[in-house]
Amino acid sequence: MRALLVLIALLLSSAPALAGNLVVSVRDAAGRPVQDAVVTLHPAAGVPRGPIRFPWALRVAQQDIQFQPYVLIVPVGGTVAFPNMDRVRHQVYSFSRGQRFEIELYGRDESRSHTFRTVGVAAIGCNIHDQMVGYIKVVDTPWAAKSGATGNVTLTNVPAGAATMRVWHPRLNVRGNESAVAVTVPAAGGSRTFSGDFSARAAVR
Amino acid sequence: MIRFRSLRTRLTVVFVTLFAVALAVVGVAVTMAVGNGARTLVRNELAATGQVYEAIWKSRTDQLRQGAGVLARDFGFREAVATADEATVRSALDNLRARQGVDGALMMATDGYVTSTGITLDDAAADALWTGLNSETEAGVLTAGGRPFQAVAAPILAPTLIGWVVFVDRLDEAEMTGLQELSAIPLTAAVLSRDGEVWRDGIGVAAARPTAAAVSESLEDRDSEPVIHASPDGEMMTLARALPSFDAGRPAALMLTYPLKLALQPYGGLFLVLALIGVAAAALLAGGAWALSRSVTRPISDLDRAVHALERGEHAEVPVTTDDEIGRLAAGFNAMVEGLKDREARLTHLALHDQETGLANRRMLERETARTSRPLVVVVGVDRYEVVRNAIGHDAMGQLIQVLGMRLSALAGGSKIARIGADSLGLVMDGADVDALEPTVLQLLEAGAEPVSVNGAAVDVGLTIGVGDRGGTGAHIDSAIDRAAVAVDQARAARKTWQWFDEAAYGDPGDNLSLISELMTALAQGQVTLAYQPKHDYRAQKITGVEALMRWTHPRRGFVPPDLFIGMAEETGHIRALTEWAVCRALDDQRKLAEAGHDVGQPVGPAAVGRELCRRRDGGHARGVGAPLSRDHRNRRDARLRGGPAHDLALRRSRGVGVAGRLWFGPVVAGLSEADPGRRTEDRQGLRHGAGRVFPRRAAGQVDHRSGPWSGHEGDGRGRRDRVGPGPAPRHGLRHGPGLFHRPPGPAGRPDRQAGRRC
Repeated sequence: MRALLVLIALLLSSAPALAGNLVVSVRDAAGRPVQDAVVTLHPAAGVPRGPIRFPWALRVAQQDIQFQPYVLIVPVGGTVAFPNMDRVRHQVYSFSRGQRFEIELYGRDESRSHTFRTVGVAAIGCNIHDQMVGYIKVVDTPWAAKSGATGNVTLTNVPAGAATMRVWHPRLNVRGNESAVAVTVPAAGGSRTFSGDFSARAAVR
Repeated sequence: MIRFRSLRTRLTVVFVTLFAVALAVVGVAVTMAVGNGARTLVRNELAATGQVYEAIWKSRTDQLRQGAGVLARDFGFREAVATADEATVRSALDNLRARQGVDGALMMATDGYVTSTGITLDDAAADALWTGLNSETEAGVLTAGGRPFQAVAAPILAPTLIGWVVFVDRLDEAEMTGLQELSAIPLTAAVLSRDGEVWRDGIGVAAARPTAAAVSESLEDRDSEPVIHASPDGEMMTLARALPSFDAGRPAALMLTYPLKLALQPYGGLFLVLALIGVAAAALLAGGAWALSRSVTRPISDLDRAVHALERGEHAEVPVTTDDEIGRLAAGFNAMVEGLKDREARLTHLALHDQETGLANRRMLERETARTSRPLVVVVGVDRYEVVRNAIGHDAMGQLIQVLGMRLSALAGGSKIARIGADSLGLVMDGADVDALEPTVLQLLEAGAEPVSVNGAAVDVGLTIGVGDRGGTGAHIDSAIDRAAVAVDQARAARKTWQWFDEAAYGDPGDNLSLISELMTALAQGQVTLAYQPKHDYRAQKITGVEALMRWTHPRRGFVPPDLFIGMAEETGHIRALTEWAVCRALDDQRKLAEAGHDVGQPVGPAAVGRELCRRRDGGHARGVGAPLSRDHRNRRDARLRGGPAHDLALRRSRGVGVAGRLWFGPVVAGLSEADPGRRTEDRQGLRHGAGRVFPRRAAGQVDHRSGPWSGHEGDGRGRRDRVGPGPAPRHGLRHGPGLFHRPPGPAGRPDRQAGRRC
């Protein structure tokens, strides 16, 4: 029995060294927390094979003539449902490069879905309502999360070691609205702060 | 300061000047008010136009934005843009451009890629546009190819911003003309864009510096007030309103300008009418002032003329037409003129009348004389004037002359009697009435013979009358009055009651004035000699002495009558020197005669006198004969010599000592004076008339026995010789007489050879 426990311990140690959580605090130039910033982490050792599952539902609802949520992180190949909760009809589309789709007008309580097969950002809009804007961030890493009202992003079970951390936000004023930072994740996890200029006009193509 | 010669001109000029000044002030005020009004009008119009243009700009912007927005929101267009379908994009732009009627349409992607129709953007314009759009400027002025455009952008959201649809419209002349037509005043509108420090208009021409400065100033003004500035076309009012610009470095502005000249143009007619009214009023005022000042100044001008007339001595009187100050002044002036006339008359009377008697004076008589063409002046001399005056006093004498004058005036037919001297009255008769002269003169003399009653006492007055006419050419004295006055003297001398002026007897008294000074020279040069005339003793019937007679032969005048120069020497005091010379000469001659054996007497006293005189003259050498005078005697004699005429002394001496050899001084007849004054006068005259020819000239001291005066003694001299011969002398009871029948007076020599023959 004792020998079995040692074996299990060895097996566990030979697997990728799983460390703690990485907490990234996203702040704008004034130090204020930035919401809806997507932080992804690509360990230098690569990401594990296999389907990626996120704990949130792959679903963008149209409610109160707004996309809900504003930013949705979707694993590549994930199918996102677009349920219409409004009384009016919507025509959801995206002209974003590699993410073009168009869902013809559909009414209340109807749902359409679209599978995002390309890594990138799909800016989604409604042909009827110009003010409806939403973003679907298609990622190829399981370590991805978006900041909440506190501006903090917690990546859980991040493997220790060198990694590339990317921060994306529709108003982040850099090329492609995404900034990459090389990080070394300590074994015990840790926390980082990302500061950037979030004053750019949302201009995703 | 202008000097006016006329009060009227001055008043007129002052009035007109004042009016012109007032008019100028009114004109300036009106001009300023009108100018300000016009400026305000233009200012308001510019501001209104500026606001209108702003509204138009906004409206146009909205219109363009709307058009662009339609395209920008079109799904297919967005899709074409998102998929970089340029052909579709261009086609859509063209289509909408035509539909909207805009000059150009373009799509600018957020990455700066431009798809355009109707307009080609250069790099600078594309940069400016992208910069502006990126900084969220969606409407404004875009300068492309040096020309301004109104550009309006609409974002292409798919759903995020992927680009802009931009509509551009040319801000050209037509656009501006349209704006200008909106304005009530013909202003000029232009859209300018600033290029560095230079404002350029729609065709890229830089605005003039003052205009550019005015634009900048107006833009900086918070209330966007128009600015007035100078320009080559005169004063301009410029309003600038900022327009949005895609290029922050090239601000744009709408410039509205209006020349103030045009603003005042409508008032030109008003100004002209005002000027005409002003000129007409000035002319009217000038005429009125002229007329008014004429009435005001006429009395003053009259006074002025009267004063000048008075100054020239003419009669001056001014009409008194008013009761005001000027009228009173005129009346006062007239009174003053009257007073002046009275005083002048009094002064003239005083100047022309004798103060003592009230008779006319000599000056008056001269006037009368001058007024008469051939005046005959009758001068009435009062004989023994001083004697009578000293007896009755000056006042009474004045009365006497006055009474006499009135009496004579009555006789002379009312002729004016003038007192021409203290003792003489004169009147003028017309020379044409020469026949009436003598009766008149006789009447006058007769009237004068009547005693004159003065202060109750009768005073006898003797009158002597002289008559003179105006002297002709060459006369030594030409005044008729002077001639008549001399005639009085001549009449008195001739013991006549009246006489015409005797020109010949008068001679040339002026020439005699230098005679005495020449006499002293004559003595020194030997021009004066002594001539001796034997003295015949009627009782003894022989020549007992000689009479020394003084003769002066003047080198120029010839013979000078002794009674002329001796009389003058007596008057001037030179007789003393003459006496000394004569005594010395006579003593010398007596000595010579004595040496020659001719006893002409032993002058005791006079010889002593003469000797003493000669000694003194000759430095103490006694040249005479006889005993010297004692010191006491000399002193007394000298004292007398100093005190009186020397010849009187000599006569007195000789008379006092009773010597036979007497020295006679003066004219030949001097010795006769005490016994027969009448004769003396006749002899004097005779001598004067004849003497010049009687005695030939000879040197002093020369004794000439042969050439006696007989040889040339003619006329009066000869006749007198007969009269004064030995015959008549005893008749007069004289012991001695001039020995003219023996020989006439001659120089000392040997008288016995001539005289002794007879004696």
